[in-house]
Amino acid sequence: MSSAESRKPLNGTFELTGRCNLSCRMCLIRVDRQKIQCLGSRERTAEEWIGMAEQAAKAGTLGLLLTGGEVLLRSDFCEIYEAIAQMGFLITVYTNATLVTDRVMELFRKYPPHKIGVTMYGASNNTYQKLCGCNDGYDRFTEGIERLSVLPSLFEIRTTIVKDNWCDLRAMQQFTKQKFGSDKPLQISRFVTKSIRGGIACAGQCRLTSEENAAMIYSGLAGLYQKVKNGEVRLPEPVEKFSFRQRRALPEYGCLFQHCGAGIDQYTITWDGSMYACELMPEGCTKPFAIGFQKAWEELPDCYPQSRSMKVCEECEYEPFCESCPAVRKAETGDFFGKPEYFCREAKCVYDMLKEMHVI
Amino acid sequence: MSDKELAVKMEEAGYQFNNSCIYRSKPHYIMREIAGESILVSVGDGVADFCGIVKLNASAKVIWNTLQNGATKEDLIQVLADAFHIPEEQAKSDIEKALELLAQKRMIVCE
Repeated sequence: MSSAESRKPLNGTFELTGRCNLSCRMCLIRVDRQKIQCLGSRERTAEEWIGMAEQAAKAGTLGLLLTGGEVLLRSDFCEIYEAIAQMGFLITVYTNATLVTDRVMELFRKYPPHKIGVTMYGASNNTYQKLCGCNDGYDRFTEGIERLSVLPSLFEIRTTIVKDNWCDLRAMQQFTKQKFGSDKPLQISRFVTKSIRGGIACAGQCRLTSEENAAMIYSGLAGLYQKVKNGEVRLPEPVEKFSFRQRRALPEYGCLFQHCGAGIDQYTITWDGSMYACELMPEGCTKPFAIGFQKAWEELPDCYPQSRSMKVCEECEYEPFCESCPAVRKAETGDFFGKPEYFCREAKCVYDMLKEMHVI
Repeated sequence: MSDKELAVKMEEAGYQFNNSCIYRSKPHYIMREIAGESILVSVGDGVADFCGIVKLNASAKVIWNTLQNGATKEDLIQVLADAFHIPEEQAKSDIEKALELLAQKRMIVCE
């Protein structure tokens, strides 16, 4: 989809629960029963999710991601999955693979998800204990992966790197390579934002510093930079330096999410039954279980500012390297147009490395 | 393609062939209308054979719809010829190619 006028809900995310059997310190959205009660909310029933999936199918959703929290924690997951798997979606399931039971495997053999995204949090029980509060988490993860691997589904191993598991990164990459081959590398979440939507973890406190995150994500560039700095490598004088013009000026008004597709061809329905443009969005939702899927989708753009102008960043020379988005800005600053300092510093790191190597 | 040649192709794809064979689409593919396009999505056992979607053009849609209720080769030729006002010879050639492909991809059964 290229414009707000032709919005179609092609890709959906059903966040079936906000609860999880792991207590990861960096989780953005994890809630427990006490917090759910505090928020005056509730998880939606199996019957409600199945009904919502029927409505989403009718509205034209093709790709459907089932995620959490941990979806397999729901005692009625199999009931929900079995119904939804027969509706003709391209189904992806995200799981931490620590709760793969015989019953789940029986169901997945009958109706394999098209894709399974397994999140890995470390390469040892120690790391799982430190980060997720689960002393046999790694053993359970490896056992779960072994079981899931027999399915014909596409696989993706994903991770989020924070201070507590950074030291395991190489071992995790090695594990993924050995298990699935070098064509399916470990997928690392690009960034961690502060907790959203009542999430009880301390995501903002345990994430890497901006500088560490830049060094990890741009590890190739950072490695080269160090070698140049230490005199181990001498770069040839560039024939022509890269120059980055400011991004094309956006019209003052229009859809906030013009560039990423959130709210344009994708949506998320969260564990409490709210529809957001994307799962990272801390605020701005409609209520599909109350007003129906179609109406909730149609009214979604009204929940967000109709401006796209990021005035606060207009003059920033690091802006071409900045990976923030409206959801991130809102989560970090409380304002869709706020200046997310964590991301500013990260963009500056990339800029500085390129500048010192005389590439820009 | 002669019936005999088609029979060979079908047998190569694991099917027993005879002239009164009823072809039927497997239930592991669900037809959806998405953004104005007709597509087939694999579900259940279909995911093991094909983990994705198949986009149908107008004639493929007619063939698939007919296969859902079960049809002989002759039925399919007639339906296609009628739907697109094409000579039966052309329809016959198209149906034979389609059946061969669908059999190879294990998307139909032959009863």
